[in-house]
Order: sequence, then structure tokens, then C-alpha cells
Amino acid sequence: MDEAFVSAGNDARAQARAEGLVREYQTKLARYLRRMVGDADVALDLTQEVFLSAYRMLRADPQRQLTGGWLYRAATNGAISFLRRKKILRMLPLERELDRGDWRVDERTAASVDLQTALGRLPPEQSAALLLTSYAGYSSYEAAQLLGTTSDAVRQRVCRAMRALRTVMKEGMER
Amino acid sequence: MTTGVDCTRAEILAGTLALGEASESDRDAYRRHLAGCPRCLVNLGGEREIERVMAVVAEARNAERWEPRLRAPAQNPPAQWRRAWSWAAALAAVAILSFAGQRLAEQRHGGSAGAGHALVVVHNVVTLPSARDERSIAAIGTQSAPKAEQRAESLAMTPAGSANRDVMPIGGDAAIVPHPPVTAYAQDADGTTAIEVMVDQYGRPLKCTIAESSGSPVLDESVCRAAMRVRYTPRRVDGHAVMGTYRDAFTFRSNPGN
Repeated sequence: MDEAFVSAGNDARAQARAEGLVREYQTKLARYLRRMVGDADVALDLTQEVFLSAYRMLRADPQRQLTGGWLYRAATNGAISFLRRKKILRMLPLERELDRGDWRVDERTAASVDLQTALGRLPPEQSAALLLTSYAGYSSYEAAQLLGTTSDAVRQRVCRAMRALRTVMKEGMER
Repeated sequence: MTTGVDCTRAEILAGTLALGEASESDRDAYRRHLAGCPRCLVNLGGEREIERVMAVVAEARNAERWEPRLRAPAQNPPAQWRRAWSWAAALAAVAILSFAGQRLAEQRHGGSAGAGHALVVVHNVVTLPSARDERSIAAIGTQSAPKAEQRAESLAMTPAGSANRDVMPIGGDAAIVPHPPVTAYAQDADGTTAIEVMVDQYGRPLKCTIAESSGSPVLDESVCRAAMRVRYTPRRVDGHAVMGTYRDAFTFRSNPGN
């Protein structure tokens, strides 16, 4: 069989499968990443990067099974490297992020603001543990597989994330 | 430690409880540890406290409405094109903003003849009751005394008279400062926006609804944004903080001199 013909067929299949992944996961991943980095534009860029990697991987190996877990792992790694590179972003006050129109009016509940403030104070690994379990719906075991750690470590990170959120809630009540 | 588990294990148990993965023996171990460790009781909180905190996470998750639409991966332009477009867009935005800024500065200084439109926010202004406005005042319910039958309908959650203001922004009415976008100036927007903000027992705004629209969605949105950004003193019933509703109105006038 002609090599170019095979390659074109692979491309079409990869594209179709990547489109399926985009349809199913784009909203979930973008919301997860927006919470991780606190910025909608950056979240969109990172989401796009995740799907691009998935597409390249499928084009190279059409038989490869890419699950939601793979996408979340890639998204988490992307967010963590972004936050490490741009530590200064964590020092920006939250209100400025919210003022930029990243969050719609009806999303801007006190709970949402409290959660984002708490996430902004946490190391990215703890944010990821809380969001993968409570936001994305993975169990501590599954989240541990995605983060390359143990279930107990995930539970401990969730506990610490919860403590940060409690502190933010208390501060809100005292203001 | 005489409580069976150490504090690190207690953290793990708290996480297990938070994720709804705890067995009955996990719960017992956690309770026993808290009973003998006041520091963990303060730092980690009891089971109810964990539930309360996780409810906030769930509430934030349920409030998410963002649904971005990405292009299919193969349709993405190369990164260098995207960067070039970003630069072009940024330059265009700077040009537009500097032009808009100049126009605004001219308007504020009364510089250009015939361009005397400056949008100001007049806080808590309620227009005189025409047939239409009676309804809006009843909905606002805080700045004037509406008729008794209207009050019964519109102020069901609050007592009459000055006690209507039992839910107040911390810092007073002036704490809510809407910032309408520049487009509102360009559209010469005008009108009164009346809002109702649902405030929980902790003084946090839960939801902002437009009771009366100014007719301009950008003005309405700017008021709700501002109202959701402040904290409130919660309503109190018999000394207990309960949920309440804060009502307020903002009048925007372009041409304040007229």
C-alpha cells in the first residue's frame, strides 16, 4: 500500500479521534485549568496545548488509547510547569483576575471567590489533588495514579487544601 | 500520643472524610484522635466542619458556567502565527484604548464642543414615582416607603421601615462601586438598575439578580459585579445570623448637567 495513502488515513483517523476528545473534555479541562492557574486566557492556551499533544500522539500511533485520565495528567503537568515558570502570577491579587472578565457574573459567588483565593495560596500539587478529586470526580486512588503519588498523599493534600479554604472563609467572616 | 493515630495520620483521615471515602472505623479513629488532640480539632475541624468546607467546593463547582469552544487540534495555526496575531491584536487594542482615553479626557475637561457626555453613577437615586416607577421603588424597597400592599409583596423577607436595611454592605452603601465599561460611555447609556443580592448567614453574597433593568446590560452587569464583590453584615433574627436580601438601586446618568 502506498505510504502517503496510509499516512493520510492515519491523519484523518487521528483528527476524528482528537475531535471526539475535544468535544467530550474541552469544558471540563478548561474549567479545571482555570481553577489551577486562575486565568481564563492561560487556561484556554493550556487546554489547547493538551489537545494538540493528544492529536500529535494519535497521529503518530493511531492505535493508542487516550483516556480522560491522560488528558488530566497532561493538563496538570502543563499547569504545574506554567505556575513554576510564572510564580509571579500567584502574587497578583485575585481581584484583578476576576476583574478581567475571566469569571462571569453568575459564576462569581462567594464560594467561588473563596475557593480561588485558597487555591492561589496553595502549592500547585495540593490544588491539583483537591481539584482532581472534588472537581473532576476522581477517587483518591485514581488521582494518585494521575499525579504519580500515593492515595494517602492525595488525601493529605486534600486536607491541607481544605485548611487553606477554611482560613479564607474565616477571614471573610471577620472582615 | 495516646489516641491511636498520630497527627499526620489524622490529616490523611480528614482527607478521606472530605472525599467521602471513609469507613466507619476511619471515622471512629478520627473522632478518637480529635478527642485527645485539641490542636487537630482546631486545625482540621470535626466531621461537620469538613462537610461545610467541602460544600463550599461543591457550590463553587456548581456555579461554573464557562463553556469555551476550542478549535479542533489540526486546525490550530502554528504557534508563531498565533504569536504574531497576538501582537497585532495587542497593538490594535492599545491604539483603540489610547483613542478612547483621549476622548474621555476631552469629555471630562469639556474640551470638545458638542461632546459633553460624561457618564456618572449617582448612588441610591430613586426617581419620583410615575406609574412605572412605583413598581421599581417597591422592588427597591429601601430608599422610600412604598405603599402597604406593595410592601407586603416586595419586602416579604424584611421588616418594614428603617429595619429594611438589616442586610448592609460592610462599609455602607458606598462600598458598592460599579465600574461600567468604556462601551457604556460610547453607547451613552442611562437608567436605573435595581438589584437584589441574596446574602448568606456569613455575610457572603450568594446571588445577584436584577430587579429592575436600566435597559443597558453592561450597566446592569457592572452593578451586579460590584455587589458580588463586597461582604455584608448578615440579617439577624433573635440574635442569630440568617440569610437575607439586600436591595439597592443605582441611577446612571449621562449628561448630569441636564
